[in-house]
Formats: sequence, structure tokens, C-alpha cells
Amino acid sequence: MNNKVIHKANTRGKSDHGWLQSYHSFSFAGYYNPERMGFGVLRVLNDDRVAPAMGFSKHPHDNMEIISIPLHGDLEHRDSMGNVSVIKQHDVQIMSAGTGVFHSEMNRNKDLEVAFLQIWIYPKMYNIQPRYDQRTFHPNDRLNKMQVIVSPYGESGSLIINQDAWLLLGCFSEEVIYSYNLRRKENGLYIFVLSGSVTIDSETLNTRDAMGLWDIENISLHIKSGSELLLLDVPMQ
Amino acid sequence: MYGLAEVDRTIASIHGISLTNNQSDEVRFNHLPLPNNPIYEQ
Repeated sequence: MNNKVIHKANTRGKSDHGWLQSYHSFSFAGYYNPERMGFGVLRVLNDDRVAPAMGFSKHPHDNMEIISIPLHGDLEHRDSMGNVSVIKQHDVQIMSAGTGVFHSEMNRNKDLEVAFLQIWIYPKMYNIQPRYDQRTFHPNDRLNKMQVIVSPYGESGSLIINQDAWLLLGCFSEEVIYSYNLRRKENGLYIFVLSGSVTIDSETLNTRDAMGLWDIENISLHIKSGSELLLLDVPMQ
Repeated sequence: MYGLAEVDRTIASIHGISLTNNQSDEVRFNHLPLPNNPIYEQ
């Protein structure tokens, strides 16, 4: 049964705009690959590094769930709802663009780059009132286990998303065999290795590699010590 | 739609957003106008 895709790190799209270095897991802006148009409702997974004092000035979005996960540095967010904030490592930000918002995302520092993941997920309900939220997730709460950071109903203190989607982070100091049960039978699982190494069904993924799986209820992950993972449990249509 | 005329089109395009003008010169935007991103065609 064909229920798996593997996206090795070096097959991602690459953008180099000088101030912005970005790897795209899926087609985005100038990178177009018809085989990489998303994974279910997951449309964008960008791995961005932005030079000091640079960034994305004011721009619009609508009808998209936009999640930013800083990896290092400080990212300043401003939006047309009046939110002004700086997010950093261990914070997660979510914005439901809904009927439409403007926002900017700038590197707050003048001498350090900011690195962050940006994730776009198609919404469950369209044209909702725009909303913004952010939260700090203590790293001890994801040590050698997965921590829910985004979910439809705010499970375990996570951020709420307008979609039947769950995002989880894990940081492993020990070698662990972790069994993950998908939340819904209609969902697939996209496993993105932030660092380290994970073996799934005899397939080994290393830093920034990814695997997408669907038509499964459960998966066993053999996670090596020193690994960090992002799991995206998302509807496949 | 919103005040789109003030948006830097290059930044928007790098960020996967295309801004276009319609017949009444009203600026509109689309996410990810793939594969024909007008900025990258220039």
C-alpha cells in the first residue's frame, strides 16, 4: 500500500534573497514542484533564517492558519488587530487570518539572525474573524516525550487552531521508542526532524528530513538521543 | 480590499503572496499563485 512519502532535507526548495535564506518543504513563492504541493491541509513548511534587522514588512493574508515556531533569535510581530509582540525560542505563535489581516515579521535584533519555522495550514472554517495567540512552552515538558503545542480544542494548554490538526514538539536526551496514535482516522502524520535521527519502518531520517504517512492508526518512532522532532497530525483532505 | 497599495510587492512575493490590480485598479492578493508567480517571471 502506498501510504508514505519521504522528503529528504536536500530535496527541499531553496530560496536565497540575501537577507532571507529559506528551505521550502513544499512549493512556495519561486519554488514550484508539482510533487510537493503540500501534505493534506498542510500547505507550507518553511525553514527560514532572516538577517539582523530584516524581515517581511506589512503584507496580507486571509483564510490560512499561520504558525511560527522560533528556533533561535527574536522575531517581532505586528498585525492589523493591534498585536505587537516579540517571540523567541520556546514560544509558538498562531494566527487565523480568516477574513483578512495584515502583519509584519521582522528580526528584532540588529546583530543576530532569527531562525524560525513557518507553517501554513488550510482552515477548517473559512472567513472567520481573525485571531492571534502565542504561548511559551517549557522545554522540560517535551523532554523525552511529545508536547502538544497546537490542537483544535487547546488540549494540554496548547494553542487553538481552526482545523482538526495537532502539532507536537519533542526533545529527546535519551534513545526512545515512541508510539504515536493518530488523533483521527482521516488524518495523516508528517514527521519533521529538527535535529538528530529517527528510524521509522527501517527508514532513517536525519536532520531536516521528513516523512509523511497516512492510512495508519499508529506509528512507532525509534528516536536517537539528541533528537528534536516536530509532528504534524493533519487532515488529508 | 484592505490597503494593499502600500504593500511592498517584492516582499509579498518572496512570502508567497501575489498582488494584482483589477480593471478598476483595485489591488487584490492571492496566496501562492503557483506556478506563475509574476515577480519571478520578470
